[in-house]
Amino acid sequence: MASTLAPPPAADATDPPNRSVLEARARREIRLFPTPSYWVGAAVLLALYLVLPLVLSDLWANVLVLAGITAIGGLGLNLLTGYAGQASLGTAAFVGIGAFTASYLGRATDVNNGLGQPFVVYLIAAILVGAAVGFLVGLPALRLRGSYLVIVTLGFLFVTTYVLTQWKTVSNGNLGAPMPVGVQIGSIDFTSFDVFGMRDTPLGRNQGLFYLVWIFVAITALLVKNIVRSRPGRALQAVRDRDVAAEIVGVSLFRYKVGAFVVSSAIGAMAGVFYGLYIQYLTPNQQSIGLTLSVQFLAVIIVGGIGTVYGTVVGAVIIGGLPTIINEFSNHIPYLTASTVSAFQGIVFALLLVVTLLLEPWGFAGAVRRFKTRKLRRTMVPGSAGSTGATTG
Amino acid sequence: MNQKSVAKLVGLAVVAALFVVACGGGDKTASNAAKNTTTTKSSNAGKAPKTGPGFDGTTIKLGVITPQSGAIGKIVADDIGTPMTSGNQVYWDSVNANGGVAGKYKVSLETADSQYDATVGLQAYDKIKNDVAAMQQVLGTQVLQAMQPKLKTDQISAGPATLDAEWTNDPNLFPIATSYQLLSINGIDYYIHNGGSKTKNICVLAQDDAYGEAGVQGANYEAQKAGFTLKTVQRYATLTDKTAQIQALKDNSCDAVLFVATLADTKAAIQTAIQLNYTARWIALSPAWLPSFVASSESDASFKTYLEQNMWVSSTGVDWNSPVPGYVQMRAAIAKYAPTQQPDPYFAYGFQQARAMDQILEVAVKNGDLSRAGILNAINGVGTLKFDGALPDFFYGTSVATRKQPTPATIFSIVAGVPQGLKTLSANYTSAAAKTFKPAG
Repeated sequence: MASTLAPPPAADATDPPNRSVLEARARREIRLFPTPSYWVGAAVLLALYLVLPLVLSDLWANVLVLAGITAIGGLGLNLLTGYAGQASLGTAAFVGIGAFTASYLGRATDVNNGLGQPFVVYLIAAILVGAAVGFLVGLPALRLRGSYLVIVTLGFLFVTTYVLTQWKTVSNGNLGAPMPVGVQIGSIDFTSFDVFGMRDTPLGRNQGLFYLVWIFVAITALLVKNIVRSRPGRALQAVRDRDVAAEIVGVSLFRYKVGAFVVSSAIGAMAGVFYGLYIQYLTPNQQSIGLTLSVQFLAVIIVGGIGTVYGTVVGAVIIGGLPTIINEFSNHIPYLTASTVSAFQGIVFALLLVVTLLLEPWGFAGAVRRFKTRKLRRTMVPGSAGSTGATTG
Repeated sequence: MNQKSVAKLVGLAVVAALFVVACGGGDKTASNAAKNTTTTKSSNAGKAPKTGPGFDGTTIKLGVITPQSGAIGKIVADDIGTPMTSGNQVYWDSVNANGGVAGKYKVSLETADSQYDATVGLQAYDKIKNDVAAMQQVLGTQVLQAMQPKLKTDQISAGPATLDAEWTNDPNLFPIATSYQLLSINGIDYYIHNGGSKTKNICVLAQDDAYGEAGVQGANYEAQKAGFTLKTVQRYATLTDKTAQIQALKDNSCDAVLFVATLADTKAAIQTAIQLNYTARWIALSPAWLPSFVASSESDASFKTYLEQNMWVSSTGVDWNSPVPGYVQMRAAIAKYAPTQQPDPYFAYGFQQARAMDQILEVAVKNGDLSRAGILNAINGVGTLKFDGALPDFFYGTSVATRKQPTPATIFSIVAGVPQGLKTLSANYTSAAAKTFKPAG
């Protein structure tokens, strides 16, 4: 299979490839499924998607639902931070905005002044509200960058928590408010999931949410992937790398910086809807939708790989699953007691971040890319260690 | 592999997976749990009760979801969760020694760590829910709120280790004590009639969550009924600096402060008050209190003195050495099963909570049904939960609509050297406002 691939953009390439080779390579690189192995990978993922909820325990289904939600939010943040270069600590605020919008619109009319709207309505509304607020937050980004922008988004997070607490019609204040109980699209109820009435007993809420959330992970990943492999994506990356130069060559900073905030915030709000459906009861305080949650989204893209789509999803699964893995195997870890599990989880979390940043700043995706490049070089360069002697074109 | 064969492979995988989805055996639902409920012999009273998840015909397994670790969780665990679970355990040890529930069915506890965090709490719930017949204890308002829909779906009953009034309205929950709202109402009213007055400046310092809001609700209700206005309500995020809030209390010349906090914040708040040279009558709700605040090991003398001079605790329960039968039984059980246990209000609460569960399980056995649904039904058959003086009795009646939460609070003063650091000022104190308060929802 390696023989069908073009050589990597190696610095030590001897002859510069001609124009047609470059064009062919570029066309292949922007394809969604550039090689048959991608199709096989997609088939495996699809099969896993369908089968996993049936074989996993409730606990692990729960963990994967949360990982999926984190992946959605992480994809939004990666678009903003990884591709557009706009660092943000405000993701949790958009999660909160999405969650409370969904709660207010979706909860029953006799519950804290809810409006009793169906899932599709409150999901779309939450996305639109997230996008609108993202537009407002994106405006300062035109004049700020780096740590200044981080501080603005951090401030926005605290302001959001405060506004939500005070806006009692929506949030019911510090008492908090429930999310809608049912999650239905047409005749499919995701809290009691069945396939065309073929099962004797429907699947539980965790399993139903798994199906729902991971469909949206796929949709979001496709959306982000399509943005970044097309003209807007290249513009975003130009803005990230040299915003002044990008503007000089005709890239609209307003359009792309603010646009990145709008799309990222809309995705964050969508993650918030699912987070609300997962946790089922929302409280507008820092413990629920605060800085810790924002940092968790950042950790996802750092561990998974800044500026990659699949890396974000992998990062979400790692960050989401790690605490439970530690918890489940804590009995086998020496000196670990019930009261020190959480501290140990924190240490592992911190070590993971530090080690990633020190050894592989591009995260899991970077490590995979490095591995692939090394493998290709070995097959390309005659006489190198491990070389088969074959050359590729 | 060309694209056509890849497409075939994908199609094959999808069809295979759909087949598994439709016919697969794995199932984690409540309805399945309900289906698993079987009658081993007969459902008639006097014969073996129905079994179900958490009851195999001989042993009843109960869940405990409590913080054992975590940033805030560790503090709550050390000072509240661990003694409360010990209270549960010691009670069941004493019952098991006599054969168990109805003299036949032994009880064991399975604990899962919530880290005092709703997300982790939900995972803890999912981890143990298939193993237990009911939840003996769920600690933490936010954790329990997140769990309520699942309890309903899974038909699991649970003992809230939190005192919000709204639990009374949930058929899956069996609260046992006077609510935070009523503790607030009674605490302020006691102040008004014992040294204070409604013309004094009465204020609130509360944490910014559901528990804090429950306290504020009670304070507002008392103010409305007694005919005064709260001078200021200050809120804070737990484990953060409270200088601004305490300064605001001082600036508003607050004579009394209803303190709706957990013990994680008590010391910091009081030490800030001492630093700001601010003195008032502090009326703390029970979760703010920890016996070790005035123990001999506490080195901060000014802190201890300030508490003794200025703080009351509005709580449930009685003095540790009280002669009421409920406490006599508890002290005897401690002597036998946990001789190193120190006097602790959270232990006492856990012990009484297990006593409530025992009464419900006895009814379930009598009904011949120890399945989850059977235990849930038994709550409505228990009539009145009785605590032999350890707590006020709680009338349940036949449904949530007939439940009447107890209204009295015990007002304690702080006295170093006595068990729990608490000495009763007024037992069974019920204000006029408390008698008319109804939980929301």
